[in-house]
Amino acid sequence: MTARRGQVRVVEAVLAVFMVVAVILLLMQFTRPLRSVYIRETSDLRRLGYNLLNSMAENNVYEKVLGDLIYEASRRFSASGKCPEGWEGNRLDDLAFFASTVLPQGLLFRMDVYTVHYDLAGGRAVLCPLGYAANYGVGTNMTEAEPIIYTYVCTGDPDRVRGSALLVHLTIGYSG
Amino acid sequence: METALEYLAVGVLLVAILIAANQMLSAPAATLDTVRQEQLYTVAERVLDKIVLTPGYPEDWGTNIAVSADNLQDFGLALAGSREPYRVDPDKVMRLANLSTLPNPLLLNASRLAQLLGLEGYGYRLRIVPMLKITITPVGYYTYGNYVFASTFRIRVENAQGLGVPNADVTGMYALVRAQPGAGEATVEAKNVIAASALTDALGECVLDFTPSLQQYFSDPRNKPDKWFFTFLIVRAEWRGFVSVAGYATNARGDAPVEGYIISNYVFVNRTISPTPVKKGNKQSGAVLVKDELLQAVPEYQELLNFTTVVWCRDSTGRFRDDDPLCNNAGRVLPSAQQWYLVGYIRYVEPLASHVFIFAQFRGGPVAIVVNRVPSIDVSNGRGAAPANAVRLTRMCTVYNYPFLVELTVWRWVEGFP
Repeated sequence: MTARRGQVRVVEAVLAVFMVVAVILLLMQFTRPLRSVYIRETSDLRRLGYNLLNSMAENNVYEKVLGDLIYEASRRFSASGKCPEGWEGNRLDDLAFFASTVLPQGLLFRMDVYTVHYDLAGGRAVLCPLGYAANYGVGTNMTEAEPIIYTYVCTGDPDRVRGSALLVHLTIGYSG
Repeated sequence: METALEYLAVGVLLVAILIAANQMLSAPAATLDTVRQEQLYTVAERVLDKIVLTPGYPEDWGTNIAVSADNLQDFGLALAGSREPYRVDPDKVMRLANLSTLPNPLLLNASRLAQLLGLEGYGYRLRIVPMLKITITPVGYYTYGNYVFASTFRIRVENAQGLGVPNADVTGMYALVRAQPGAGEATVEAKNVIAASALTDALGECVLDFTPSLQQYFSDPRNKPDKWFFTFLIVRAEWRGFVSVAGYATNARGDAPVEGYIISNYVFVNRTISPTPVKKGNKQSGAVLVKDELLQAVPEYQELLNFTTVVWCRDSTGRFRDDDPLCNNAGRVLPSAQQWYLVGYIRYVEPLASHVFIFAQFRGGPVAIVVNRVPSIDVSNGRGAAPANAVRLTRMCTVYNYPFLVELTVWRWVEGFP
């Protein structure tokens, strides 16, 4: 009878230890900090993205690469009051080549560019897509990425685009 | 039987406790691992910000020759007083340059840089390279009298990763300065500029051929072979708004040390070079500086190729002179430079001049020394290291008006051995 009671105690102790260990391991999963390295990486991506867009602006890259498109989009909007249709699917290969030449290797990006028009009567801004530049296709996922929005007023040559406002939406990150 | 069961149960208990203890010990270690990685990122970000966004102390340490590696108190490359971020001071960058043909007399070396940046215990590599790198390779020559001029050039334009850039607009400006040699000095008679342009091909290369223009130039009876000709080439490449520039001494022999440094107004060239007093009209000259980027874009603006005076800090016997206050100053703060370099100062340096071409002689022949004011930098305190874990960050900066890439790679010293 006493031996049986002792065995029950041992079984109780085993169960108790398993419960304690399970709870500790469970809690440890929750208390482990986030992968802070990813947070750092994406914060640097944001700075790199702004740095890139700003550097392009300082060197009048937007005007040089997108000048004809900007002019055509503005002309059509002035004529009809509407954005050109279907331009969101335009591939801006020159811009994509430019960005992939300048950015460090191993980064993925997608850059959507819009012209900004002001509807003074309606009191609103209208975004007309010019197209997008990307160095990855459908089926590629980014694991860590940062979106950056940048506005720019063209100041350089060609003269006919001077004063045009652009909105650039850049997503930059690492593939999974 | 019951005893055996008890022993088994106690054994299971012990194993469970050991596993739990192991888990408890390894979990913080895994956490620490992420913290250590994060810490390396933090270090790299802070250091890169320090490098490109702060001017250092004293703020004029790039141009102040009294500031050496030993008494520089704080390191930073930002242009002092600039309101634009990521604008880098070229004179500070020049302190990091170390040409293979001539050591920098005021070099800030990698170990001192690590000390100033608080990177002791870390390995690092700092690269400051133009966004578009131009490589000039002579592929054809034109011979005239005793002169051999490089006349055809293969130009390669590549990005910071070494990939050729197609469709870049390349303009080459071949400058020829004719001088009449006299007793102890030469007199400038004429300055001519020949221009050629081309677009780079799919590999980022193009050829600029100046041979027909040189033939035409030397068919002029005024350009006799007994004159002195100082010649140099300036190449400008533009691609989608990004611009880069490079210089080349076109009549230099292969072994001529045709590079030098300019720190503040002082120029330092190899001591085997003979300074050549050159007069233009009644004014002492000695160098040509590329006054403005506009000249590189539009070679017709050749008036922007300015003559300027160089005062050499050696007297006629070859000894370092101390009767000139500026030479005296250089000799006082750089005593070793007196012995190992040919030191001079330029009376006026245009702030936006990318290159200075100094008239000199090497083994009796006239030659133009190319001083590039926007050099590429590659500093490392762990060359050849293959770190297990490293962080690399890049920023796009501006040096004068030229876009440059600043790239910093940091790793822990203990993890950096091959």
